[in-house]
Amino acid sequence: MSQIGMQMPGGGRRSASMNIYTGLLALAVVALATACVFVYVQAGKIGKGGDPFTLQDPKSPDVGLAAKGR
Amino acid sequence: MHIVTKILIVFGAILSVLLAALTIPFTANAGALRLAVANEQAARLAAESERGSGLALAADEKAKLEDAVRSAEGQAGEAARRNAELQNERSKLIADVEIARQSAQGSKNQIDNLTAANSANAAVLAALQKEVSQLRDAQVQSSRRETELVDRLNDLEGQRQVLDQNTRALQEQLAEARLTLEQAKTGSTAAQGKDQPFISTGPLVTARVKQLFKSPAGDDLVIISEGANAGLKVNQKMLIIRGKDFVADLVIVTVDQTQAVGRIDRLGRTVEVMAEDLVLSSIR
Repeated sequence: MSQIGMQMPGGGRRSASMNIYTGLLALAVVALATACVFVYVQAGKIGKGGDPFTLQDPKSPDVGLAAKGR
Repeated sequence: MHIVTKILIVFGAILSVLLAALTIPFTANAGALRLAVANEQAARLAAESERGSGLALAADEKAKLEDAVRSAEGQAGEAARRNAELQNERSKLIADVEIARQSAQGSKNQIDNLTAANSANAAVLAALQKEVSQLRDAQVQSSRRETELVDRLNDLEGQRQVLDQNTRALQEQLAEARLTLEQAKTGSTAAQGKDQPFISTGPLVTARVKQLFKSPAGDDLVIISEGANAGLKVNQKMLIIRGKDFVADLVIVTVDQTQAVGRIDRLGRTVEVMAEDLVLSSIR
């Protein structure tokens, strides 16, 4: 970036500023955070032992429904 | 680049990685769960089909059991009816048993009464036997006494007959003497009427006609129940009587000790002499 700025005619260093892309990036970060939250919650529901990062046994999946009083 | 942008980029990268980390196990677990759900559905379908077949079998079994129940109910009803009949029969039999028991008791009472009567009759019979023995002894004695009396009577009868014959002979002698005396008075001889029938002047002799027959010469002859023992003689004229009527004369032709034969003289009348007609030596 600074190299791109340095190659521009007039040769002067300008300060970075927030633009539309920053906003879109912020929006993306918010969306990602929201998605992470939703996926975390749902993955916790179907994860083994309530852990969203643990894989279930395909032959005998355990989603804790009996513990919840299904 | 602005510092906020950089921070946002870092956060974005971190959140992307985090999202990826969350998405990967999520999708794997979702696949496993989907497979489990599919297996559960297959198992459920199999269970439902098995349940359906079981329900069909159960329905068949139920129908069979219902038929069996109806049959059993019918048999139960029949058994109840039969039970009622047997109860009635039992009641009747109990009544019959009671009647038979009473009849048996009555028969037993009759037997007891008859036994008592039998005992009394046996005592009476023993007494009667004793009395009969006594009477038999008395009868034997009476028979013996009667025999003695009959012997004595026969002896006396014999003596009487002898005396009667003697008396008759004496009377005949007296009658002959009177006849001879009268003949002597009238001048006729006794020898003239010796073969002529004569009427006895002695005691009355009574006899019965026993038998009638004809002689070879055709004369009507009879046998009478008296003979020489009553003093009858040959050529003695007797009278045959029936009731109060005179029938015919009878002339003795043959004399035996206890019977005599006589010839019937109808005196020209048409009369018939019959057995058991009375024969008299004279009318007095």
